[in-house]
Amino acid sequence: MENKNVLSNPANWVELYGDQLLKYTVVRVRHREIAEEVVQETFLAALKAQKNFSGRSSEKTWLFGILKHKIIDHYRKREKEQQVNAEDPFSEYFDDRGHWKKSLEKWDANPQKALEQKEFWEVFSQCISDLPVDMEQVFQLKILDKMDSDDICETLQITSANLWVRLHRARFKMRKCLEKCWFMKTG
Amino acid sequence: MLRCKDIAKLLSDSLEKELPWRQRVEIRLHLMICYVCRRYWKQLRFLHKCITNYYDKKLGEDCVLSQESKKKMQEKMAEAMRCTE
Repeated sequence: MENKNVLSNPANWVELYGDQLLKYTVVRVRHREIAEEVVQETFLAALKAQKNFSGRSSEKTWLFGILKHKIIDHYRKREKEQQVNAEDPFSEYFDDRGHWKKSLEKWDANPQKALEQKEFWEVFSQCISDLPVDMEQVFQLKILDKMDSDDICETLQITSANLWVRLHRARFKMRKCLEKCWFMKTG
Repeated sequence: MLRCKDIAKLLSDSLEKELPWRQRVEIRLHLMICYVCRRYWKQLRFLHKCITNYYDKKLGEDCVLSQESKKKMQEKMAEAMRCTE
């Protein structure tokens, strides 16, 4: 009656799923080596958890479920390391009355053309990597995982007000970084 | 009266959700008179587009384990399997 899935021999997992798990991980953690470590940990954790496999999902879905937890663990660890960094990105730009201290630089009249330049994306990637991990994570959940705000708040255990602030800060920082590292350099 | 600092926050929020009409009107009026916020808004929209493009591009990139990494992982698995037997 019930179609239960069974697990294949764990010795074949790396060959069967290694690339797929890596591809999923590599866009979510910042370094390739770390992505590989996370995949490795996932396989080892799955090996230990074999008896918990209920057979309701496929082997692949089950492995991905473990991987997702490992990625979130990885973020939590990184967040703890970074928590010292609590500077206010706004004080540099706004005075006590909430007005801009000075005008923003005017960017290239046609910033679109930057999108076609490889160098632009290198700078962009660097700016993203300079964000605190909790900020990058919201972009990832939104775009890569196509989560809506409610899902993101639930995953990260934060309030929606907190989420909007996080996005605002992240964008504010990114804008500054792009200006400094790209638009002011290329003129 | 909303200040530039509040406007900047609301502009970011507006990329995520629909704001109440009162705020939308206030933003629109503010942008009419404040060129710095106007500039910020323009740059913010550009940035927003870039962020989406950036991750879409990353998703499209191919990525496979090297033979060496695969072998290393398989060895670790074999070792762990021996331990659990």
